[in-house]
Amino acid sequence: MTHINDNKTENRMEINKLVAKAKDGNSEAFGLIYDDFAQRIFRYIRIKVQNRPEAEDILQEVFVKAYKGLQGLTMEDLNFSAWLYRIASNTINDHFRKKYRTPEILGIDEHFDIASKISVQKEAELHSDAELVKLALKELPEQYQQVLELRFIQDFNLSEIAQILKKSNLSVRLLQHRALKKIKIILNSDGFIGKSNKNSPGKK
Amino acid sequence: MIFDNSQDFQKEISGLKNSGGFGDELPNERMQAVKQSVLQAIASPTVETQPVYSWREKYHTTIRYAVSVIVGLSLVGGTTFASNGSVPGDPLYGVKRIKEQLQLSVAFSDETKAELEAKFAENRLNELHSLLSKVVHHSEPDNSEATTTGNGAITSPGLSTTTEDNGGNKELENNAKADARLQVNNAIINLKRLQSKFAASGQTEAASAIQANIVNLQNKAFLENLDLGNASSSGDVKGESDDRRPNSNKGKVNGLQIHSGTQLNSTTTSSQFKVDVKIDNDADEHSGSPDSGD
Repeated sequence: MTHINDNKTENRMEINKLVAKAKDGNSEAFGLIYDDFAQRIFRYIRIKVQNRPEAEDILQEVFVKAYKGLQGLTMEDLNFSAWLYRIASNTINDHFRKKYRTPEILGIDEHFDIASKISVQKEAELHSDAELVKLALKELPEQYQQVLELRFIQDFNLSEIAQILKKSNLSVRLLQHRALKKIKIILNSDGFIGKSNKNSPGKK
Repeated sequence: MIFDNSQDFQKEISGLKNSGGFGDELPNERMQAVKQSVLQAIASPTVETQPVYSWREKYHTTIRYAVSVIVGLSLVGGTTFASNGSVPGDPLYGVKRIKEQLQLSVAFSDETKAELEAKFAENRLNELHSLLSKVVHHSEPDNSEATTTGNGAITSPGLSTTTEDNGGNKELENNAKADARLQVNNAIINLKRLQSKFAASGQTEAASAIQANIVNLQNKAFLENLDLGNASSSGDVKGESDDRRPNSNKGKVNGLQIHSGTQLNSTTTSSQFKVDVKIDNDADEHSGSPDSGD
């Protein structure tokens, strides 16, 4: 854990150096920031935005907004990553507000029906563990996916996720708990059990 | 695959993390294309657009309250805003500008943005026209712009015809001109960019339509005696079916040109409609429900 934190701190310092240059108008530095974050921000956007061209538009919007917002940033204790994800969250929400529609899966689904996911389970038979998890995650409500992405892929802590999603720490903790509970159910359902055994024949 | 807590889940998904997470990836080619668009956008002179008219500082306290109202009301079809017909100096003018900024902030395609910017540039020109028209002396207050404050007092629009107010009016006028010039120039720059994009992709009809928009804006600016500078001004008057040539003014009053051929935006406020905008601690702000006007 200490090792992970050290890496995270080091990365943050590197990013902050680039941010300081970009604030002074160095567009090359901003380009490097883009290179570092674009892919992960795009994946984050794609959790909720199914249409790829729209997701690309939103990605562009996020970085243009970020550039415009640089002047308002103070370098002291800057958590640029969390700030950028917050912009992404807001931009995604604005997108849906503009289109007058709600995301495809609303909020917390307490009555998740595993039995209907037969095709997913069949597909699951062919995949490795990581891909199984990926498939299972796609079956979660988008809010759960967001929290798990931010928590376990992007290594944000609960406070940072709360800032990004504009929720309380308690709400985020509950979301994480429910997300893990749901994915546990999925991964332990009939279609997935035994498929994570690396010794199973026919696995990729 | 069984896990009982988040630490176990962390281990299970370590493989997934190494492969980049569980959303869909953007192909490198597309990532670079979006990067180019971002870098172009931030290099554009329009990025740091700040109107010369300091409405934003003056009305900053309205932002918190106006946002939720405007966003909420935008969901109701056919809603009109009391602020729509306001001009610089009017109490609700700041709300109008905030609304425009919000619309721009949620526009995602270049086409939508350029269209909005052109529309708002035209708003500036109309406001300038309205402002200049009001400088002409009236014998009574312009009741079509009057609003009622919470305590029942009627406030006339920002302009007065007394000589003591001429300094303030002149400042408003100059600010409005500078504002209009800035927005019209920005709109034309973005329209030209869009026009090039359509022309390059062979969409000649769309490119021609945009050219017509550009000419329209330039003409309107010209009719308001607004010098756009070298960047986007054009003395050409073309593409207009009505007789909007220079020096075709219908009349002059006290040395000011009155363009009676120009259609102004006018908005009727629905009497059933309430603007529940709480504006905090600013004597110039309006609060409560405006009477229907215009």
